[in-house]
Amino acid sequence: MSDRATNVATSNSVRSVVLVDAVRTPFGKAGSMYAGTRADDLMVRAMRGLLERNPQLSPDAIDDVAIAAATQTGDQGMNIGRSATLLAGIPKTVPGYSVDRWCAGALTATTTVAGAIAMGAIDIAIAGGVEHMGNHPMGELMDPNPRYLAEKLVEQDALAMGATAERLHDRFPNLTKERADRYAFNSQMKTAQAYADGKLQRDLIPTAARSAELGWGIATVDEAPRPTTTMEGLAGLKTPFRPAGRVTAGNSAGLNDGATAALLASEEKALKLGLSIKARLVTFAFAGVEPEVMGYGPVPATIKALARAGLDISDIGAFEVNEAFAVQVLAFLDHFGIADDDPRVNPYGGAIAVGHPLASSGVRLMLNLARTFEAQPQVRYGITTMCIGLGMGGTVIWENPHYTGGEK
Amino acid sequence: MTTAITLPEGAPDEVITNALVRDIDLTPFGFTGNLALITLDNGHDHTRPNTFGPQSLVALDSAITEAASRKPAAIAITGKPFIFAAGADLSGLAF
Repeated sequence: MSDRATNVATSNSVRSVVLVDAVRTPFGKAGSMYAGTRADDLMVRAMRGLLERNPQLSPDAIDDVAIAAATQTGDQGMNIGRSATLLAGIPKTVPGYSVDRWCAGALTATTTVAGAIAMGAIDIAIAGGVEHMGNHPMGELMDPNPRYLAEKLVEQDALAMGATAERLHDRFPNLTKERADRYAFNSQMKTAQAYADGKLQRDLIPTAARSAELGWGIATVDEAPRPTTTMEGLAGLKTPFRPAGRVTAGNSAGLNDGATAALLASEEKALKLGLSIKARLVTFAFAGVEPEVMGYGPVPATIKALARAGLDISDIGAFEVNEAFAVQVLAFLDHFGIADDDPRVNPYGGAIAVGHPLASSGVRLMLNLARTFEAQPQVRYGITTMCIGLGMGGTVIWENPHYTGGEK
Repeated sequence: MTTAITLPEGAPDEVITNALVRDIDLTPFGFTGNLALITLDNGHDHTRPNTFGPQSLVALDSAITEAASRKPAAIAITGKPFIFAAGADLSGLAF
């Protein structure tokens, strides 16, 4: 063996990865308050807001930037990870790349940079996501291979997310429309309460939003929540995905515009720089399911992640489950024997109320979980989990750095 | 205020810079009241910056009057994306 080879440092030890901080822009309804705002400008605002909140971190110390978008063209194209980094005024020496796993984009950006941190390739990274569904309607430029249907690789319903949610209702008849509506109503109420208590505003970065007719404005709150929602109102909504179906605009997340950004670091580096530690990554897993019931994805993903972590579902004291559809959350809760209104689940409400700008949502789950950890030092472990189009789920298990012992 | 200013014969029509007034709630920023934010915008992109000719000045004057009437905590003036204002509209001077 040459001297050079023997001098190469190799280490198989895995390093602890922490969430330093996470923020987001307020989420808008698709093509509404951000109709005159570019997707990359939303992403830049989230990144700058994140850096402004963490002045101890010199931007040139960032080793990499991973940004997700489900549609990577136009103002979400051009390698949005690199492009947004340049536009954010981060030094040109800091690289960036783009990630796509549809709705789990930002979650995947997080796990991908976490993997690089854990193996020692990098110390500090930004992970985030953006989706301007006003500029990029779902399915834009999508060109599914005809083999999908010709060879029945997937069923017709697989590519229409609302139809996959109906299929989940079919598979689990005990997940009734009434339960889905009740869940959605509670999500709206929890979000309204969180807003009233000033819980959500803390992590929103005020974002300039211009309208050609009105001039410049500033978005400071989510546009989508409907605090006046009633069960009667929900019951009367149309079921656009199937006649006499169960999935409505009321028990689903809407179409939204928004961006999120998170700072991840090795625990060692975070301590050295005096950065905050809001959550410690335990492990993560992604799993596939039949595309026509993509909403079931969080179940196998969570089973896999728990097994990897050597934990049981009863060890998890806080859940952030993305609410693409109420039925998909209920399928998850039923599988693990958790009540529909369990206070450990989405205490600040979820995507049904605040919205789901596809690839950005993973980091929103993380910042909510971090707030729960901060408020509940008796909770040791929490998870962020979401379903993913084309039949997947992703789950990240986090440990509460504020855990003080005692009950789980 | 009514002002009649006629441009020289043959001069191009003034590209009018509109002045839009919008209330910005200052509560999320730890203050009380509203900011009356005036956006100068001539409706073109950054390659045709905001300029001021007679009608643009009238528009700005009435916007400031309107903003003040709203009893705001503050008034601010900003431009369209990338451009505040380039100054006087010189396109009529050659005529």
